[in-house]
Amino acid sequence: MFRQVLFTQWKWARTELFLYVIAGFLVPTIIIRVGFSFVDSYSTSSVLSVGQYAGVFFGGLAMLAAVGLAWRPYIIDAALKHVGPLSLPVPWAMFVRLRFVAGAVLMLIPTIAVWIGSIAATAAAPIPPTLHAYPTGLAIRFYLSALTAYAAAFLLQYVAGRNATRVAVAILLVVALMETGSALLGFHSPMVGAWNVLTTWPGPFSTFSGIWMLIDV
Amino acid sequence: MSDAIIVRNLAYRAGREFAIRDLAMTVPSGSVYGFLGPNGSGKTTTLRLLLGMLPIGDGSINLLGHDVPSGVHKALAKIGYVPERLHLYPTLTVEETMRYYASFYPDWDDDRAETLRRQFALRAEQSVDLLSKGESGKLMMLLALAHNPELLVLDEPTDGLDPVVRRDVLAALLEYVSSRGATVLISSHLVHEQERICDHVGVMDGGRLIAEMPMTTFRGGIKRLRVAKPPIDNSTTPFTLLSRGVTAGREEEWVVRGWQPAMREYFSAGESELREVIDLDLEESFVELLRSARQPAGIGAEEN
Amino acid sequence: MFERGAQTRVALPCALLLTLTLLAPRSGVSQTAAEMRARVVNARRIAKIARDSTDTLRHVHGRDIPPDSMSAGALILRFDKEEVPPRLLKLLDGAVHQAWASADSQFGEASAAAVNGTSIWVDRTSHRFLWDRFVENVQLELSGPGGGGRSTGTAMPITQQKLADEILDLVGTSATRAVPTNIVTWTGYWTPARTASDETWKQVALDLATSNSSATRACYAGAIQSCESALGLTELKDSLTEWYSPDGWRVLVESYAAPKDLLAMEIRRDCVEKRIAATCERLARTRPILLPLNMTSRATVLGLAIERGGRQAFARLIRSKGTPIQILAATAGISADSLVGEWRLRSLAQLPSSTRPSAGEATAMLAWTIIFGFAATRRRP
Repeated sequence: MFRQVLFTQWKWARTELFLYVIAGFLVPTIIIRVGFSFVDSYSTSSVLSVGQYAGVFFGGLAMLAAVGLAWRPYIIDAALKHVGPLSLPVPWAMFVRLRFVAGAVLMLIPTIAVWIGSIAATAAAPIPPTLHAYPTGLAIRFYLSALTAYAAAFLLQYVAGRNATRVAVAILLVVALMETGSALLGFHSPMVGAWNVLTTWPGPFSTFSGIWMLIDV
Repeated sequence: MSDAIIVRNLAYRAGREFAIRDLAMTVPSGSVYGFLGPNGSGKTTTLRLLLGMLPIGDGSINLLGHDVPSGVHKALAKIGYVPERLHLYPTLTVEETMRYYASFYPDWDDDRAETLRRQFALRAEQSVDLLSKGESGKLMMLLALAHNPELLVLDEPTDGLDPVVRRDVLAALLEYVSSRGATVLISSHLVHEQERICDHVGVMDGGRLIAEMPMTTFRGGIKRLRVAKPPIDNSTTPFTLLSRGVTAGREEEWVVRGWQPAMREYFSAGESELREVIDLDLEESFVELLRSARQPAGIGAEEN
Repeated sequence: MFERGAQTRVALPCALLLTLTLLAPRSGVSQTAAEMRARVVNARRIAKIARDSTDTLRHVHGRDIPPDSMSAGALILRFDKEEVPPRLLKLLDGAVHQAWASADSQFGEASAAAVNGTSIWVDRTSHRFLWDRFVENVQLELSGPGGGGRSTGTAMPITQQKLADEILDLVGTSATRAVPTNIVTWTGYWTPARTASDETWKQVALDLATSNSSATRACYAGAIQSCESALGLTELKDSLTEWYSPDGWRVLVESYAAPKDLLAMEIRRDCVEKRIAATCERLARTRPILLPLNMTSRATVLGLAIERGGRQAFARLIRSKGTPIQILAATAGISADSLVGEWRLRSLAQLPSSTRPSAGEATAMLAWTIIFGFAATRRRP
C-alpha cells in the first residue's frame, strides 16, 4: 500500500525532484567555483561569505522542496474532490499518514543530491586550514529543515484545504510587515516576539535560522 | 432475502439551499436498484452519504451489515464504486492505476482485472491522462469490478459515453451481476437504460425519495386513461390520480398509479366512460411521478 | 485534467518569500555573520569601557553626591532613593552583592585594592529607543579618586545578572589603575573582573579560527610559541613577516580602503590581483600592523592568569614587574607556555557548533514534524 502511494507521489513530483537534484548537485559547485574566483581564498572572512551564500541557497531549496512536495498530492486529490481516497477501504487518517510519510521519504532525494553536491563542491576548494567544509552537517540540516517545513505546509494544506494558499499568503504578508516594521521603525511587538519563538530553538523553523554554512570554523 | 443497504430517516444539509430529508431506502441483496432522479435531486449526495464520504446529519445507514460511518471501511472493501466524476491520477498508466488500487483491496483479483482490461481493450502502458472519456469510464468500471465486490455503487456510470462503450460497460456489469449475484445500486437520469437492467427502482426529487418499488410495479402500475364525461369529484378513486388534463371536448387524460383492470368499474358505475387505457414507458412514468410529486393532483388539470 | 497551474504560480513565490523572510539575519540568530557582528559589537564595548568620557567625568564631579547608598564588601553603590524605583532598587541590592562575590573571587585578597575607593553611582533611569531596541537605561557611573566618569546602560529586560555584569565592568575599569602599565596597554585598558563566560570564549575561538595571520593559524594548529606571538607576548623583530605570510600581506592590503589615486590603484592591483609579494609587503608596511588576536582574546589570557593564580593572583599581578608574558606567568603561578596552552585549549573547546544540528535541535525538529503530521490527519475534507 505504502509502496504504491510512494510510487504515485514520485511520479507526480519526479520532474520537480529532478530539478531539485540538479540544483542540489550543481549549485554548490557553481557557488564555490564562482565564489572562490572572486575572493581571496586565504582570507577566512571571504571564504566564510562564500560558504554562507551556499548555505542560504540550500535553505531556499529546502523550503521550496518542502512546499512543493507537501501541496502537490493534496491539490491533485482536491481537483477530484478527494473521491478516490475517501472511497478506498482505509480510514482517511491512515491515507493522509501514507501521503505524509511518502513525501518525507521523497525529500531524501534532494537531500542526497545536496550531500553529494556539497562533498564534490568542497573537495577541491582551497579552504584555509582553520576552516572546514560541512557537507554532511549541511545535508542533515537540509533534511531536518525541509522535513519540518514540509510537515507545516502539509498541515496547512490538509487543514485549510482550498484556502491554504490564501492563509499562507496572509501569514507571509503579516510576517513581512512585521519584519519590515521591526527593521525600519525599531518596533518590537508581541507578534514579532511570537515569530521569534517560531524561528528560534525549539521553534519549528529554528533550523532555518540556524547555521547554514557549507564552510565554517 | 437480506438487504444490502438499509437507510432510515437520513438527513443531511449542504448549505442553505439543499437538504436530504427523512430519507428511507432499502436495497435488497442481489437486486439491481435503479436510483432515478433529475439533476440536482440529491442522488450523488445520497450515494456519497451511503459510502461515508459525507458526514451524516441524522438517521442511520447500514451497508452490507456494517453501520456507517463506524464500519464503513470494512464495507468499502466489499464495494465497487464508480463516481460521477472519474477519479484517476493523470500521470499513472493503466497498469499502474490497477496496481495502485490493488494494493488497497484485499480481495483484488489480478486475473479478473487482466481479463477485464483485455475485454475493454485498454492498453496497460497507456497513460491515464491520454485516455478518452469512454476508456476512462471503462477503466473505472474495471477498478470497481476487479476486487469481486458484493455491492456495486455506480453514479451515472454511462453518462457521456458513446453507445458502443455504454453497451460494453453494461454488458460487463450484467455479466458480473449474473455470475456473482452481486447487488447493484445504479444512479442515472437515463431512464430507458435503467428500464432494461433494473429490478428495483427508487426516485429522488428535491432531496426526498418520492417512490421506491419493484420495477414491475413501477412499469405496470402507472397508466394514462382517456376518460369521457369525467366526474368532477375525484376524491373516491380506487387508484392514485397523478394528473388530469382536458384533451378535446369533454374528454380528459388521467395519469394514475396503482391501476388494476377491475378498476374499470369505477367509471361504469357513474356517467363517465373509460375510452382507453394506455401503457406508459418508464420515462413517461418517471416524468408523471415527478410531476405529481411536485404538484398536488387536480392542479395540473385546472391548468390544462 | 487539473487546475494545478494557478496554485503553483502562487505557491512558488510564497515559498521564496517565506524562505527569504526566514533566512534574513535577525537578533537571536546564531549564524556566523551574526557572531562576527557580535564580536565587533563586543570589541566596541570594550573600547568604550577603556575610554573614559571627560564630559561625563565633569558631569559627575559637578553634581552632589547621591544621599543614599548600599554596599557589599568594598563595593559601594550610591543612589537617590527618590529617583530609583523600588523594583530596581531590589535588583540593584542583589546585583551589588553578586558583583562583589564575583570580584572577590576574581581579585581575592586584593579585591579592595581593585575597587580602590571608587563608588558606583546609580544615575537616573530612562527609557528610549536605541537602534531597533527599546532600552531602559539604568545609568551606572564610576566615581572616585582617579577613576570615574564612565557609565553603562542596560538593555531591557533589566535583570540582576545584567546589573551585576555592568557593575563588574565598572569594577574592571577601576581595577585597571592598579595593574602594571604594560599589561594595561596590552589588554586594551581593561581588567576582567569576572571569569570569562562561555560566550566570551566562543568569541575568542572565532577570533582564533578566523584570523588571517599565519601565526594565529599555527597557534590554531597547536604551536604555543605562535600563540604567544599572535597574542603580542613575544619580542618581534618584524611583526609583518612574523605574524603574516605573503598571502596574509595581500589580505591585509585588501582590507585597507581602496585608494582613489590612479597610480596607487595600479600598485594595489599589483598586489591584490597580480599577487606580487614585494608590492604587498611594501603596501602593508604603510599602515600600523595590528595584533592578530583582538582585545577580547588578550583580556581572556589575563583573566585566565588571575583565575589560575588563585586568591593571591591579583595581588601578584599588581606587584609584578617585567614583560607582559613574565607578569602573566607570575600572576598565574605557572609557566607562560602552560598558561597560553591552556588558554588555547579553553578557547578551541568553545568553537561554535557548526552546520550540523545538535541532538536537541534534531529532536525538536522531528517532534514538530510528528506533531504537524498527526494534526494534518485530524480533519477530513
